[in-house]
Amino acid sequence: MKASLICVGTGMTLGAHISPITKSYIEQADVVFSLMSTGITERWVEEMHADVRSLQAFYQEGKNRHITYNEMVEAILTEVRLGKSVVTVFYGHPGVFACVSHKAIAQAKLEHYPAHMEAGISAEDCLYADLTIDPGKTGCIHYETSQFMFYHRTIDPAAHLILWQVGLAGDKSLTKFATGKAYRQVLVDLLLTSYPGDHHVILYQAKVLPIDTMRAEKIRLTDLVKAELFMHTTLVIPPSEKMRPNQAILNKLAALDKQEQQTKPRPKLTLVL
Amino acid sequence: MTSIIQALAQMGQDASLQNDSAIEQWLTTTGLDEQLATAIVNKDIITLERQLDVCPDVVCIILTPDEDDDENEDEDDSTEETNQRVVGL
Repeated sequence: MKASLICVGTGMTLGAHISPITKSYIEQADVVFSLMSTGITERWVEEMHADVRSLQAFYQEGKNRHITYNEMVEAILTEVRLGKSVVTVFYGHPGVFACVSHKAIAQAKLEHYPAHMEAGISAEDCLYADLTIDPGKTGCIHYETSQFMFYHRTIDPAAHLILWQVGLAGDKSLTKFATGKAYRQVLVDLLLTSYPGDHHVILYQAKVLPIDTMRAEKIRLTDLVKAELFMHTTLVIPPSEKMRPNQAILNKLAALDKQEQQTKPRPKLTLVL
Repeated sequence: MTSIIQALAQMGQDASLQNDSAIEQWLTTTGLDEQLATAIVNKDIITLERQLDVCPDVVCIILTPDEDDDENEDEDDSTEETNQRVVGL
């Protein structure tokens, strides 16, 4: 492999989720960059290759994350430009709620280097399994929490609403690693326009180490303000309402069905005595 | 002799090691240091981190809420200037 970039994901749980192709790409790379969620999983990746470089050093509280991410992309691309086969390892899925991989691949392609992404098991995948939610049942919508707050988004209380990075709710500065109760109160107030205050929501954290315990803590929506939240905590809001039939559309479809029935060629009838 | 990382990886991928008693029994066969084996049994991540000498404060945020990163970067000139000084650009 020469002058290329491949972004891979280890999945969420150490040892459990990594795919054979991801492992193989890591082992065969010239240089490996890592962006993992714990020191132990970072060490795990380091044991797979002799030259693993952590991108953690670019983070700094008080530093705008746009700058951090651009620096990470530049570090990755510098090695590609030197003619090396570069693999960047992310926890979970490399392209889900992760802008660095997308930016790095786009830049590499712009510079005519081969670049692609391999799918990994994301926190979202684990969430469906751990909380036994089928997103196809009533629908499921995902937002990054601050984006959900900054922009007018449609809330559908008949579907699951999943808010990622809830511990950073409302951070406009992009310089913090956590926001406080006052910011969360703004989020709760926004949610109270669509959900009752005593509606039960779930604080979710996937297992990262095999010895971790998955967190699925049920609390009332209003208790979110004082809840213990981390960077990797996800807020899951189950439906509070039943799906309401769209009668106008149903009528249109019924008319189409009827029309189809009438135009269908009928089988020849035979009188049997 | 198994390292902590090898032990954790094995626990992650072995279907027979998905309950506490099986893990406890298996750890006696790994040759893993007793203190580390006890830390695994007790799910004591802090001790494991100390033994591995890894940083416990790892950041796991890889997304910004902005629709278009570059546009928003331009909007917030004051923050950017401050941070450029921090990183020495």
